[in-house]
Amino acid sequence: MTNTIFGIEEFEKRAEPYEVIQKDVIRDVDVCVIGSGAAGAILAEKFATAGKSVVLLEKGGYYDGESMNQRENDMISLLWKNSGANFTSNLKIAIAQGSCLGGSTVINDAVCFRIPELVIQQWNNLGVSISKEEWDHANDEVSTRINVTKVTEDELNENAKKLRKACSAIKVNGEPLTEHRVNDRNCGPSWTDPSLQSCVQCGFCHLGCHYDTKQSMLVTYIHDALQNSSDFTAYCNCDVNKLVHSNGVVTGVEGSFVDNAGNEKYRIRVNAKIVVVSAGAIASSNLLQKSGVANKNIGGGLALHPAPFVMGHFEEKIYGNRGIPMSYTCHQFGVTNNVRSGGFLIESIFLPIFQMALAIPTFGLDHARLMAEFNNYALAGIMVRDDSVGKIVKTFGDNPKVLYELTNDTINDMARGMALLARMWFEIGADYVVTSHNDVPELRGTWDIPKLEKTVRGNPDGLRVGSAHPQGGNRIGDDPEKAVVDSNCLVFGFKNLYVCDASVFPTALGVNPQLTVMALGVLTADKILANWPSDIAIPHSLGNTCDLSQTQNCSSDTLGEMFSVIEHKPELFEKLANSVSNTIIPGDNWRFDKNTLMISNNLYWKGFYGRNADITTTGLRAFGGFYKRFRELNSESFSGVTKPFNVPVFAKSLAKQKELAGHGKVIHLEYEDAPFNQAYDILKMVDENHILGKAFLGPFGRGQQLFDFSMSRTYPIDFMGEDDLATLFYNDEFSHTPTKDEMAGRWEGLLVSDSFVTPRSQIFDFDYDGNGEYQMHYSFSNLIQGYSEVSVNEDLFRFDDFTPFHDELRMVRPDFVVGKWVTNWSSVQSSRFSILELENLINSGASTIQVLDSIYKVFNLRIPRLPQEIGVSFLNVENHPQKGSRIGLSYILRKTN
Amino acid sequence: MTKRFVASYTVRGQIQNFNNSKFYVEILDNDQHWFDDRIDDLLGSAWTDDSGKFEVVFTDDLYRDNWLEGKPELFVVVRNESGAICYTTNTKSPSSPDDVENLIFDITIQKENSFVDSPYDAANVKRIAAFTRVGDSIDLTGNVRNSFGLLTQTLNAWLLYTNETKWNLIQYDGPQVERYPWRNSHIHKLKWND
Repeated sequence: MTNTIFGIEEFEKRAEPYEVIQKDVIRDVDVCVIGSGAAGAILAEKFATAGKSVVLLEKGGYYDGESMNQRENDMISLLWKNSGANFTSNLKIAIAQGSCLGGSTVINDAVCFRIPELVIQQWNNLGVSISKEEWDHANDEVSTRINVTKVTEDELNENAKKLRKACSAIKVNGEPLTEHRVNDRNCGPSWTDPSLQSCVQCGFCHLGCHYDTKQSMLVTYIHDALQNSSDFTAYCNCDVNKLVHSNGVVTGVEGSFVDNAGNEKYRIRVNAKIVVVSAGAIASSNLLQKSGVANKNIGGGLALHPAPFVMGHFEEKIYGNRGIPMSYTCHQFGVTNNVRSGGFLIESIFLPIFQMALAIPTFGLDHARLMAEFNNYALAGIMVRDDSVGKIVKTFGDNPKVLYELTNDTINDMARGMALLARMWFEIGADYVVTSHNDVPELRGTWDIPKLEKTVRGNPDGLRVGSAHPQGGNRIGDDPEKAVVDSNCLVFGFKNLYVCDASVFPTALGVNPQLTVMALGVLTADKILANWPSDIAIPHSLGNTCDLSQTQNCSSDTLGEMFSVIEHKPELFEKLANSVSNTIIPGDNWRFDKNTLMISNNLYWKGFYGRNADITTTGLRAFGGFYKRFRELNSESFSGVTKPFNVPVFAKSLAKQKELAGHGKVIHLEYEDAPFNQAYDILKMVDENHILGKAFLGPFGRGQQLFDFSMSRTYPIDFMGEDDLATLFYNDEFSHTPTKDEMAGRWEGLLVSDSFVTPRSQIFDFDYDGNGEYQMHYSFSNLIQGYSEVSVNEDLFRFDDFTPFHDELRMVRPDFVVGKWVTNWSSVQSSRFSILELENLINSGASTIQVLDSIYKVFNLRIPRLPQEIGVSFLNVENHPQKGSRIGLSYILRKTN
Repeated sequence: MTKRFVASYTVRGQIQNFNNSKFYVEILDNDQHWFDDRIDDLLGSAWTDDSGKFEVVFTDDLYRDNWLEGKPELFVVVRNESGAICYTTNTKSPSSPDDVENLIFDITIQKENSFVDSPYDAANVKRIAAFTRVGDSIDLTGNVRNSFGLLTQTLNAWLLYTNETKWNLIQYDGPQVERYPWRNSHIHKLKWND
């Protein structure tokens, strides 16, 4: 079903066609756009109306105008990124971004400024090859569609009029201000309520427009795409996890549909010829980093337009919340008045009550006193054009971390702007002024202004600063050494990956950016359509979604549902048998495809539980892994054995096909010996290599179902076992000892057990230090970090840490390595050391290290030798003909950059 | 030895739905009584045909777990093509295989059968999830005073200023629409223009 919005949440009704996601999604399309904001929505619409098949992925939910109930407690959680908890890492700046269908255009104040000419020139000088004419054309196109018009005189509210009056009254250096005027904004007729032709002036722009008069992307381009194209689908509540790519081509986009608690419910895989990332500044950089896009510039050059505020308190009621929040701006000191570097705009703005309470920097009674005067304030913000000094880095948890400190220039601009605005309020009769600095929250007269300036400069940490315009992180430019995307927004090194949003801005824009982002969307879409690639063929791939051919990716519920409706194929029963040999013979009963990283293993049917993230299922996956092996007895029956990987239990069984009411023909797996004969399984072979199963307790046909499972003889390396890894590790056909240069870079590691492969548990960085020494840095779950000593010869890539264990690596592919963390395991109990000798050592005053060392040796004596079949999941014992008996962990490494 | 006669029941029905999909129906016997084993017996299953009709035949030995079970207590589970359950009927107890009325299940699946949800009910869940996600993205050890101040002020603002009583005290106009706008018809007019 296309021309529909899909999401996880269930609602009574929605303005646009809406369906609830009920299973994993796989789509093959021309274009996948990630992010539905100012650029993404336009790109998606233009591609769709040009006849391309388009999927638009949005992390937030779909909420129509009627849902927007103007209550901050409700709407901030629904519409704002991270429910409003979006900060720089030092918590100094709160960053407001939208996370909903339509993006930040749903929650912004509808201010429309074109990219200033000065900025166009500056960007041209930085290698951005977009001309003024191109910008003008794109701006014209967008402005027409989103109905950009000037705020009229009768639309100016009292708050804006106060700012106008203040701008007209004040003199700076003896000169009046001349550059102040009403804003342009994108408001127009509501498509849901024809009686409304323009802004209702409710003042709740930050909480979404209930009336659909704010011409956000939701009610313009997304609405157009749904109405006017033939193959457009928007998926909401979709968190894109990574871009799958190789050799400069993105072959897939993988994501999760998440519920309100952030838990994955379903998955999506999109195979698209063109992929455009428009997730907004911060998120776009984070996605590229998570996906291992190798460009050192990603994340750098972030600007925020930091904005403190100053309020004037007046005797008369102003009711600043009534009317358009942002309708008037003083451009005197900004880039729109040709201030080449830095500078600021003074913008009228008013906040709803909860946001106002957050912004006023006082506590207790003082705070209550100031809040009680809510209706008597005139408020404006100082939006500074800051330097692009911020950086976005990826945390261990794959989250974006925003590193940003205000520079001296920005602080100076803030101080100047706040001082000026305070003076302006006093000039027009304010009896006191409230600022956003903790240490100087109130000014009682102009005599307090120098103190404000000094305090802002001296203690910028005390400022309450907000940002609504994060920009940069994936800089645009023609030099791949300095930029991430070229002037067409194509990511350097890729044929089909674009980034198009505010993250590409090479400097702070200096004005509210939504119109510029939209114009960039128009330009990029037009260029891609004009040069539509004919040489990119994207193979269909299921990715990590649930499918009968990869049941290890299915949830428990889905396994059960599939079992209900899928028929067993009786003609496949004869292929149930596994290989006679129970050791791996590469090329015979075991195969590995280096290109697809798939293992074919006919030693046994490997069992899989659901992919659910709850504790029980996760525990089953981690420690309850099992396999079944079958041997043909005759044409109608097979003998089998079921074995958990981690315990020496062998449950013998007999497999026969039978009719079972409600299921049709199934394979009945009857266990022969007590206590297992109290249980039974029913299996359905869906193809030669995949089986669905149910386990029951009780008599056949009337038992209590215990759980659903699946089994497979083919699986990707993410589901490999220890023997699979050992085969890759010790076989020169599949791996080789890497060189230092081959290993240089960052690798993410996953532990391997027979039961399952963990999520990422370690990060290894191999690199040369400033002295040319090769070193390796490790981080285990962000808790343990350190350096290991690397030694490499043609036979062994090894690194040693402070433990008795060491690591050995073998490279399978340039992006995939198998490893072992091992130590020798002696089967002979040494009698060289005993408790008595330890006592003597302690009594003789040996050093602590000597005593600890001896305790270690004693402890080592005390461990019984375990048979090889027993092991705590992940810990394995191996007997290698050359390397001897060793104990340790196995893991795989995947290169990230 | 007398061989007990096995009765054969035929369950029929038709599923009507808004988009003419194909469905998989399962006929089960309710075994939740005190004398039962609490495991509903799956008696048979079938796909609907092009007109949404289905027919399932089962014998009474499939539901008689014990001598106390006389009549079957049937219900139908309807699954979509992926196997997900989309409807479950109430039970019917045919007195015999000839009790046709209680062996017919005609089902209508409305689009709006899927229940309604308020998007706002999940606001707290979302907030908690958001704050836990913030976890490794911030440095709490930096400026402790500021961090603590931010936290306390956020709590203060949320407790006091999302509260209508406080709004009235301050004479804050507040929202201009109902909390559940789509439930109650309303006009788009601002109160301060009255």
